[in-house]
Amino acid sequence: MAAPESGDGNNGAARMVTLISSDNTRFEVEAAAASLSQTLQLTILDGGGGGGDGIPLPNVDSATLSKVLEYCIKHAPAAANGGAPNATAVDRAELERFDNEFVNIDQSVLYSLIMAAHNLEIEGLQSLVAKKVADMIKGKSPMEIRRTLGFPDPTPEEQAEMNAHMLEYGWAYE
Amino acid sequence: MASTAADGGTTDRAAVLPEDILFEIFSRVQEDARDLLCCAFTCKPWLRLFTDRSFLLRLWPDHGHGHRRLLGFFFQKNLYGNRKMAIKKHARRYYSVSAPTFLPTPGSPLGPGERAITSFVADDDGAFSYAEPVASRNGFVLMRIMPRKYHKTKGQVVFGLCNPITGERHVTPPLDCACHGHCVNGYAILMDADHSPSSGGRHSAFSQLLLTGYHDDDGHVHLHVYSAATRSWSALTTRCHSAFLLGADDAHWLYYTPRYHHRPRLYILGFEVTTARVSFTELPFSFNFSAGWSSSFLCVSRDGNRLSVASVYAMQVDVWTQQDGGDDNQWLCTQGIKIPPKVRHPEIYTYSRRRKCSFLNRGSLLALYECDNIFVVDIESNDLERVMVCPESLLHNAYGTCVPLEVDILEFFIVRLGGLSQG
Repeated sequence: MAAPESGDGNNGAARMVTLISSDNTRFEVEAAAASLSQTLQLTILDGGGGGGDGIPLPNVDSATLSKVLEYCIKHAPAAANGGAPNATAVDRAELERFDNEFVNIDQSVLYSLIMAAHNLEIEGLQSLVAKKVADMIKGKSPMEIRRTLGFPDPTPEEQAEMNAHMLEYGWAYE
Repeated sequence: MASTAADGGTTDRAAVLPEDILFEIFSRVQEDARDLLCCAFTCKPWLRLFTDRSFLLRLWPDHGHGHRRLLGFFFQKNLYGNRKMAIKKHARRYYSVSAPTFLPTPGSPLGPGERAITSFVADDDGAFSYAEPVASRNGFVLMRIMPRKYHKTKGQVVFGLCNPITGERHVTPPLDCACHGHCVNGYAILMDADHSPSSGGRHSAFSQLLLTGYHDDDGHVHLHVYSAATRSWSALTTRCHSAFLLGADDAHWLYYTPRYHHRPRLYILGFEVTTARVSFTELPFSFNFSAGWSSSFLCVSRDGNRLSVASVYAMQVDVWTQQDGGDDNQWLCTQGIKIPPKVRHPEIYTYSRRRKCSFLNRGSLLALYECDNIFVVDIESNDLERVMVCPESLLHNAYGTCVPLEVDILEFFIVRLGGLSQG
């Protein structure tokens, strides 16, 4: 994703920081956006991440980081307003629409995103992805949950054990 | 996940997510315990998580205590009334029938909203749509299944059991007995664990159904035992006669015989599960009819070792508890729980029928419904809590049966799933 790499350096009014993904891609974003991460916030407050240094994030690959930053950039203005008492209903509806769209993604991306949100401690993103997974689970049988979440097919032994449990509870396996 | 070859397909990333993340996810599924039960069966790591008390406590911080143990009520909206007439009218389609209704308490782990029991259990044969709930224990609801054709009903009763959390169901073969009809009045639902209390961690399944009933012909109380393993009934006769049933817990029933000008006599009819022996013991205390007594209930302490008898009066609840020691028949009046004035309603003295007390099995809870509120008295902790406003549907159902569902959801997960996770 190219959006955060505006290339303008520190020319703009907003302070910029550089984040470096596990595969060495550099992302330049506004400090306000990166500060949504509790983990990064302290480093940024200490003046880190500016100029050529960059903050290395060895646990997050570039694809995931660009996705995470997309979320942060969108949510930074609202967060800056401190819960935004002056945010209009339109703004909030827009954010909600963005969030729904945002988690409408492949399971593998979703898992990377869960881990990244957890490691970077981005509260809003953590609850957004947790809610998404919870919605994927609700109202499904154990086997449907496995499929939805992309678990590998159970081994014959696992399958037999699950069947036994289901039978005991009077459930159909499927 | 298919996209990551390094996983080798043997471990799944969702299953081994850090506990904090899984907590974030499951706490958003938490409002319906049935969804969590499905999660527990999904894979081994999750099954282990759902038998971990500290994790369950994070999910349901205040459950297992006081009124949180009360998950809701089952009741039948259509009163069957005179059974012969009702069945005949059903047969001619004069009456509409509906399955028993479940009314959850606020924050119930069975989810919000009034629903039919058939939304919890499969009911392809429609058996439960003609059923009337009569008792509940260990998460199971016992229902009397009403026959659809009158000529088939003579001397026969059919019972259905279901567990709304797991969806288990069991329908008994007909019980052919002279104590059918309104004379069957005592019920007990026994689990595997009741036969071998030491089995601790093993999951517990329905094993026996006990019924007591009074026979008009010989004047004796009969005890009927249904075994889930053999799917058959057997009968035992006791020597007690013409006593009135007050309440029951586990395999004990409380009876009383009224005496003119004297305090009534209280008895406990007990069924020893391991030896299948029946006992009938007179208690060394009684209750006082003239002091505004409304009912007495029998309950078993939470550790399962002691019996208590709670007598409900207009102003207070008296609790007698069986004492430890050689003599099983030593009882002590352990506490008197005052019912505060704000709970009482002036009308209850004149219209006592508007006040219904219902005994909640095992956990020593007593639910009182008064004119517009439902209260719970915790006999062990002495607490009285208001649970909810009594909904119209329940209030107007004053003459039908209403069965409270009391489950310690934490214990339920640990006990029912514990044996599986060790396997």
